[in-house]
Amino acid sequence: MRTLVCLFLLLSMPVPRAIFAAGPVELADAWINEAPPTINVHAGYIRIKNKSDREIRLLSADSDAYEKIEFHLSKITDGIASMQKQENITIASNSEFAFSPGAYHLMLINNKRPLRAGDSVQLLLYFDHDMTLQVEAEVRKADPHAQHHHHH
Amino acid sequence: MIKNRVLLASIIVVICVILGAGVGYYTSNLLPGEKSTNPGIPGLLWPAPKVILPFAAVDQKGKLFTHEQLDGKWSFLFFGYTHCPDICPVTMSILRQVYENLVKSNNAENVQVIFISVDPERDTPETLAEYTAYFHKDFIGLTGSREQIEQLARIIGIAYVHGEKNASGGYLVDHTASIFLISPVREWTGIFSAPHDAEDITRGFRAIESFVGKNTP
Ligand SMILES: [Cu+2]
Repeated sequence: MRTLVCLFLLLSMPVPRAIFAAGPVELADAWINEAPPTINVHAGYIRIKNKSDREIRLLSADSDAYEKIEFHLSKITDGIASMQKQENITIASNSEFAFSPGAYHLMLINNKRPLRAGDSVQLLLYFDHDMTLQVEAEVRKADPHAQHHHHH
Repeated sequence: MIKNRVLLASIIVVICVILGAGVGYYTSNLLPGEKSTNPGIPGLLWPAPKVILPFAAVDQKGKLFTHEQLDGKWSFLFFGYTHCPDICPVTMSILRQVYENLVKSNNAENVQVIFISVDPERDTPETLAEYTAYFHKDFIGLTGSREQIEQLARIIGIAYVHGEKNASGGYLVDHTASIFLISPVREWTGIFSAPHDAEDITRGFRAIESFVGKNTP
C-alpha cells in the first residue's frame, strides 16, 4: 500500500517535459513510435546520460499506459533480424546510452488505452542505487530521415 | 540458406565485374532465352534469377492472393510481423519512401509493395489491413494458414523462426531483414540487404528495372 501511495505521489508530481535532471542521471528525448491502432506492441526510445564516476544500471521500467515494459536489442545477423530481451542495461560512467530505432528499444507491451501521435506517456525507470526517474515520452510518427544509427 | 544465396550472389557479382567489359560484346547478340551477364548493379541477381513457383496466400482484404498477382508488376517483398515494433516499422517507412519516390517520377504504376507476415496466427487480414494502410494505402499485406506461409517462405528461400512463448503468450519471431525484388515475369531479380536506405533502394530499383528491360530477349 505504501508503495502505491508513493507511486501515486510520484506520478502526480509536475515533471519537466523532455529532460529530467536528477543528480547523476539525465534523461532526454523520450518518445514512442506511433503504431497503427490494432498494434498493441510499441517501441520506445530515450537517451540516458550517466554523469557520475560509477557505472549505473537500468533495472526495469514501468508505465501506467502499458501492461509490461522490457528492454530489447534489435539485431541483424547474417541478414536475419531478431530482437533479444535484455535483463538490464548498463550505462558506463560519464557516458550516454541511447535507445534508438534498429538497436536498443523499450519494448512497450499491451497499451491500456489508445495512443496516437501527440499523446504523452509517463515512464518510470528504475535504476540501481535505489534511483527512480520519471519521464514523459511523446508518441510521434518516426521520421525515416532520422533513422541512421548513432553510436556513443 | 539465405547466407549461401547471398554469398553465391556476391560471387556471381564479383565474377561478372572481373569479366566485365570482355563479355559485354556478346550481350548485344543474345539468343532467345539466353541471359546477358551481370553488369555489377548492386543487388541485381543475374544472369540466373530464380523463378517464383506457384503459391497461394490471403491478402489484407481476406481475398486469395496467388503468384499470378505478381505477373506484370515489379514487386517489393518484405517479410515481417506486426508485433515487431522496431525493425519492421523502420523498413516499412523506408518502403513507403521508395514507393513515394517512384510515384513522384511516375514509375509506380507497375510497382507493388507486399508485406508478408511470418506470424499468420496473430496477423489476421484485418490486422494487416490497418498495418499496411498505415504505411501506404496501396501496400498489400499477405497472411494465410501456417502451411501457406511456410510454403511461400520456402519458395523464396527465406528463413524465419518463432521464439518460445512467454508467460503471457507473447513471442518473438526472427526473420529475414532483406527486401526482395520480383520482376514482372515472376523472377527474383533483386535483393536489398539491411541496413536499408530509401534513396539507395530507389536508385538500385531503377538500375535493375532498366537493365532487365534491356536484357530480356
Ligand atoms: Cu522488441
